[in-house]
Amino acid sequence: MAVEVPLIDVRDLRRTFEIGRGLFRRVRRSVAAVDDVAFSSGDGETVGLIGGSGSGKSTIARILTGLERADSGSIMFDGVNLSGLADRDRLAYRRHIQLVPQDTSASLNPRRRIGVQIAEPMLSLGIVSSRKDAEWETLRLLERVGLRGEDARLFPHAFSGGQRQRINIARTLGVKARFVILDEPTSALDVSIQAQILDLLREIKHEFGLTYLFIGHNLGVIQSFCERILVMNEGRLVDSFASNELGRAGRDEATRRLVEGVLPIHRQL
Amino acid sequence: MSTDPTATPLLDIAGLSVELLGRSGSRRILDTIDLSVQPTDILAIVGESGSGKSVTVSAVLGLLPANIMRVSAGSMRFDAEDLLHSRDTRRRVLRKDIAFITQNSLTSLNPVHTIGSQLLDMIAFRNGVGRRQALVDAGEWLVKVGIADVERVLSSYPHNLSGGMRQRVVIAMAISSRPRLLIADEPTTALDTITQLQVLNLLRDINTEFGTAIIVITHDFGVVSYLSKRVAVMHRGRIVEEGPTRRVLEAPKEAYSRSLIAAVPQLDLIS
Amino acid sequence: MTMAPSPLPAPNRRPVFGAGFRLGRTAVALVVIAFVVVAALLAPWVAPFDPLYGDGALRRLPPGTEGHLLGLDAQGRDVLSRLLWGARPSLIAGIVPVAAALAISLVLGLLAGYTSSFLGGLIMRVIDALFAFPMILFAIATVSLLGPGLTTIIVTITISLVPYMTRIVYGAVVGEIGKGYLETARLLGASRSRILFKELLPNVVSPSIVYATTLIGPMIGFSSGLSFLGLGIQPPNADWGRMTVEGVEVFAQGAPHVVLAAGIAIIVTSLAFNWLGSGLRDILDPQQG
Repeated sequence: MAVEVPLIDVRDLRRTFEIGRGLFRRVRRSVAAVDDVAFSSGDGETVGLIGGSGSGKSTIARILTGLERADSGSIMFDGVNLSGLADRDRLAYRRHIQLVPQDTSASLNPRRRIGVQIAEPMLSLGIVSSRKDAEWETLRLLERVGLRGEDARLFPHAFSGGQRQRINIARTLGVKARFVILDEPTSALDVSIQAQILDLLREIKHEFGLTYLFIGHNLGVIQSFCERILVMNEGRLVDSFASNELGRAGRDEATRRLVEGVLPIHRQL
Repeated sequence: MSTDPTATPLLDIAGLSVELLGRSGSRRILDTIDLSVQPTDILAIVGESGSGKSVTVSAVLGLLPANIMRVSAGSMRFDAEDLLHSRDTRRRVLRKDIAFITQNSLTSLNPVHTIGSQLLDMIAFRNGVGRRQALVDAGEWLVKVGIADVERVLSSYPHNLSGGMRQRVVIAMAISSRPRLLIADEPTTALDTITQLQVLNLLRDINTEFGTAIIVITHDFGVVSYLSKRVAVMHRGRIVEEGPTRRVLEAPKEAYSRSLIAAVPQLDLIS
Repeated sequence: MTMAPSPLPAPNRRPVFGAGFRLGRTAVALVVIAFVVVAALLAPWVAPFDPLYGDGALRRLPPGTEGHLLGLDAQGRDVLSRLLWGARPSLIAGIVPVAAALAISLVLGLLAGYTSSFLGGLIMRVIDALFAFPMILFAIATVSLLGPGLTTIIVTITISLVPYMTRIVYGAVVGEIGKGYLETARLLGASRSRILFKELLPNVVSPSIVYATTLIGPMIGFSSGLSFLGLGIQPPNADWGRMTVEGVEVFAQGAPHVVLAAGIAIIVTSLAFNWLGSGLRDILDPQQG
C-alpha cells in the first residue's frame, strides 16, 4: 500500500491563553486552548471534529486558516511547513485553506454586493486574469450553488441564512480552495435547509476535489457527514475513529458522554 | 400520565389568526390555530423559522407588537377566562399563573444586579411577600432547581455563572410563583448536550412535582421526544399536525411532518 | 433521507429606498438646494441691480419698494441682488471646507483605526491637540499667511473641522474592527489598502457623510463671523454672513428686512442640507427594515 502524503498534517499544536484578573494581580492563569493536538487528513477525506464548548475546536480552525498563530507545533500542508513561513509567503497557501463559518452573515461585507465579494478575491489572488473572467466565473459559481446569476448585484441582507451560506461556499470555490474548514456551517439553519446545504457540500466535494474538516457539536450530523471523527475535550484530542465505529467499545469517556447527551427521536427498543 | 380530555383545558386557543400589517396590505402569519393545553400537560410546539411558533407564544403573553401585528380572529382562554380581550384578566394571569423562560438566560437577567436581588424582587412582587420571607423562599427555590451552592449563587452576578446555572436560576425565578403554566422558548438551544439533559430533566421534575403544565417551543425533535407528551407541528402559520408525541414521531400522518423528522440525521451506534 | 428540495425563494428585491425613507423631505431638500445653487450660478445675469452700488436716497427702504423686491440695506444697495450674489461665496464657504475635511478625515480616520496602534495613536493624539485650538486662532494664523478673503475662510474651516470629523470616522472604523468580513477579506488574500478602501470605507462613509451635511449650515454661519472680524469676505462684497451682520445694525433702526432676508436664506439652506443628509443616510444604509 503506497503511503500517501497527507494533505494536512498537524503535529504538537499548542495555543495557550493567559487569564489574569485585576490591575495588580501578578498571578496569571494560563489555559491551554489547544494542547498537544495532532491529526492528519488525506486528500479528499471528510474529517469531523467534535467537542463541547471550550474544547478548543474553534481555536484550531482559526490557527489552520492563519487568523491566529499557534504557540508551538507545526502544520504541514501538502508537504510544506506553514508555521515556518513568513506572513507574506503564507498568502500563497492561504487560498488553499478556507473557512465556511457558523454565522452566515459574519463573513460577508454588508455594504458590498455579493457578486463583487465573490469575484474580487479571484482577481487579487491571481486565479483569473481579467475582470470579465471573474464575472463569468462568479455567475457560474452562483448557479452551481443553487442561486441565480442575477443575484450577484444584491446585498447580503437580501438573502436568507441558507442562501448566504451558499454564497460563502461559492466564494471558497472561487478561490480554488483545496482544504475547507466547515465551522458549524449548519448550526444556525433550519433542519430542512441544513439537509440541503449538506447535500450541496457532498456534491461539490467530488466535483471540485475538496477535503473537509467539519467542526460541529451535533454528533448525528457529524456521523452522517464525515468518514472519520476526532473528539476534543478541554483542548486535547482524546479520541479518533471511523464514523461507523462510534458504537464500538473502546471509545473514550468524553465520546461516550457525547453519545449519551444525544436525544434520540425514536425510543430505542 | 393521561389527562381527561373533557376537563376544562388550562389554556384554550381556538381559531386564532394573527395578521402582519404592512404598507401594501396585511398578511396572515398565524392561520386559525387551535391549541389546548390541559393542566399537567407538556406540549411541544415544533417548527422551523417562519412557522409562527414564536408569534403564537407572543400572542399568549400579550406581547404582539401592536403597531405591526394584530389578532384578526379567534379566542384565547385561560381556565375559561378570556385572555384576549380582558386586560385585567391578562395582567392577573400573567403575573402569577403563566411564567415564561427564553433561550438566552443572559439577556433575561439584569447584568448589574446580583442573582439574589433579582430573585428576591421577583418573589416579593409576584407572591406579595415581604423581603425577609422572599429571601428564605429564594434559597429554597434555588435548591429545588438543583443548585447546591445557594450562598454563592445568590451573591453572584449573571456573568459569573455558567449557562446551565443561569438557566436554572431563570427557571427558579419563573416557577417561584408556582405558575400553572410554564412557557419555555427554546430553553436548551444555547446549552451543551450534557447541560441540556439536566435542564430537560428539571423541567420534567417540575411537571411531576408541582403539576405545572409546560409548553416548550423548539426546533429540536430530540427535545420533543424526550420531554413532551403531546406535540404540534407548525408550518407557515398553521398547525400541520398535532397529537401524542410518540404517535406523531413514530407514525407522522402529514407529509411535512414526515419529511421534517426524516431530515434529522440520527445516530447510528451499530457497527 | 433528505427533503425534496423546495425551490429556493427569490431573495428580497427591496426597492432602493428602505422602509424609513423620507422621500418628501429629501425631495424638498434637493429642490431647495438646486434652487440656491442655480441662483448662485446665475446671479450675474439674474440680479436686478449691481450689488455694490448704493443709492443714498433709498436707504433702508422696506420690501415692496418699487423695483426692489426685498428692499434696500443701510447703504442703499438692493437686498435681493446682494442676496443672489452672496449665495456663491456662502455656499462655497459651507460646502468646500466640509467636503475637503471629509476627504482628509476619511483617510486619517481609516489609517488611525486600522493600521498599527503606534501610527493610530499618533494621529489621534495630534487630532486631540488640534481640538485645543479655537478656530479663531487658525483664522488669524491663516490670515497672516494668505491675507483675508474666501480662500482663507476655506482653509481655516477645513483645518478646524478635521479633528471633529476624524473622530467620527475613527469611531466608526473602531466599531467595525473584529467583524467577520474583515477577517474573511484577509483570508481571501486582500491587501491592507484593499481592506481599508474597499471593505472598510463603504461601512464608515455613511455616518461620516450624514455628519458632514449637518456641518454645512453652521459653517456658512461661521464664515460670516470670520467676515465680521475682517478675516474673511471684505466689504463691500456680499455674502450672507456679512449681510446678516450689517443687517443687525439697521434692525434697531426699523429696517429688519435685511437681517431677515439673509438670516432666512442661511436657515433654509442649512435645513435643506440637514434633510439631504438624512435622506442620504436612508439611501446609503441598505440595512433598513
